[in-house]
Amino acid sequence: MINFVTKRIKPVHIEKFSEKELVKGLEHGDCKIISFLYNRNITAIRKMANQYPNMIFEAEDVLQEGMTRIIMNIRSGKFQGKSSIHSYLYGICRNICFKQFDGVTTVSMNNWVPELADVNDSDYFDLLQVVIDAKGKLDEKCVEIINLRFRLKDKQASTSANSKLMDFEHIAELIGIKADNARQRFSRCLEKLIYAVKNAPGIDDLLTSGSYGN
Amino acid sequence: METDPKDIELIERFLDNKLSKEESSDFFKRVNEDREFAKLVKLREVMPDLLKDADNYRKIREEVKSTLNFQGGKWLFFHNPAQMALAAVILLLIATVVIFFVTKEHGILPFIKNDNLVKKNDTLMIQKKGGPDFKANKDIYYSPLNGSVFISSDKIIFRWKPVHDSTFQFMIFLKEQTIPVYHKEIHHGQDSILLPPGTIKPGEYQWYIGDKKIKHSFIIKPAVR
Repeated sequence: MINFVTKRIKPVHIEKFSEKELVKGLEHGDCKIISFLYNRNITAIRKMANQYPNMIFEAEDVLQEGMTRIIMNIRSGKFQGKSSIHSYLYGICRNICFKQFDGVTTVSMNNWVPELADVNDSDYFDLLQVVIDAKGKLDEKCVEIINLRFRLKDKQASTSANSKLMDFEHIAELIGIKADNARQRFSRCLEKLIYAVKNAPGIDDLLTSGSYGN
Repeated sequence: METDPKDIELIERFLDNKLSKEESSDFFKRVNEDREFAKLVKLREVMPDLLKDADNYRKIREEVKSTLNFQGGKWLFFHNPAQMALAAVILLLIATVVIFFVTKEHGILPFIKNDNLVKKNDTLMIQKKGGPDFKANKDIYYSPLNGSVFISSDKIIFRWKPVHDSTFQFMIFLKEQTIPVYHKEIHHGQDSILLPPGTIKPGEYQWYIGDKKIKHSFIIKPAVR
């Protein structure tokens, strides 16, 4: 399907957007910018992906994933703008390919563009996928109580660590059980998530640094 | 090694400042001495951000995917205004052809209707010729003519000279029967009534207004197509 689609995408001139516009567009999930970057880079990513006959990903999937990661990095402030968006995106895609190729998990840094997304970065996204999968396996009650406790659906939640947590008395009121039972339920549910991530790649780096890629 | 949910409960109580002094002291002691527990505390510490990032990651991936599929499959075909115009013209032509055949089939446009019976007379309105057909009371004239024949697809308009000082009942009976198959109250000044096609079945009928002793017959035949 992706092959079919990409054949119909018309090339757009690179001069159309400045670097600043690209970064801003990606930060806001601008469809034009996403399409533009896809068109601008798909040929290069295809060439790169074709070098790895055992690739699991198609070039289109690699680029799609790369763009997801670059948006995450821009929004989290990890992308500093030291390199061009295209170089950075290429670096991320190259990392994805490397990781998929024969189980290689570390990347030689020789002749690498200096601003590439690093390997820890790639591991972190793998870790996020582990979390997504693990959370997807939880039942509704678990998802509900975890979302409540961590205020994951609450956009108004303050960024300070303490106020991020909803106390169990409040949770108990919301879901109609006792506070102690809420705490027990939460602990059982969180244990399942922790079990899934505690040995996942990237978790040790995260625990050491406190944040990914730093 | 599996994690004991009790340990997580302990950490949650610590985070909520629910531990007593003794429990707090034990907690810190355990963090310093038990590496697994220390790791669990750290894991617990990063879990909210990890879950939040995972949620964002999933959402962004879906957004990118849908954007690329949408752009590739639909929008980009129309990036060129000439292509968009061409598509509009083609759609318009298709719509015209469809409308033409639909109307032809259902006879919405009379000039292309191919039913000979209907072509002959879509709406029959029988008017008196050279004088009233029947004069029931003063100044009340009736049509259609006695014994007129219609097709069930015809619209039939019954017309008379209006009367302004009285109301009547308009009645249609099957011939020789007493229960009306159709009736309507005629108000002051009303001079006609339309009987839409298919209102009554094919058959021999009688109708009257005002005076039931003076009836007129007409026949409705089935439409032949």
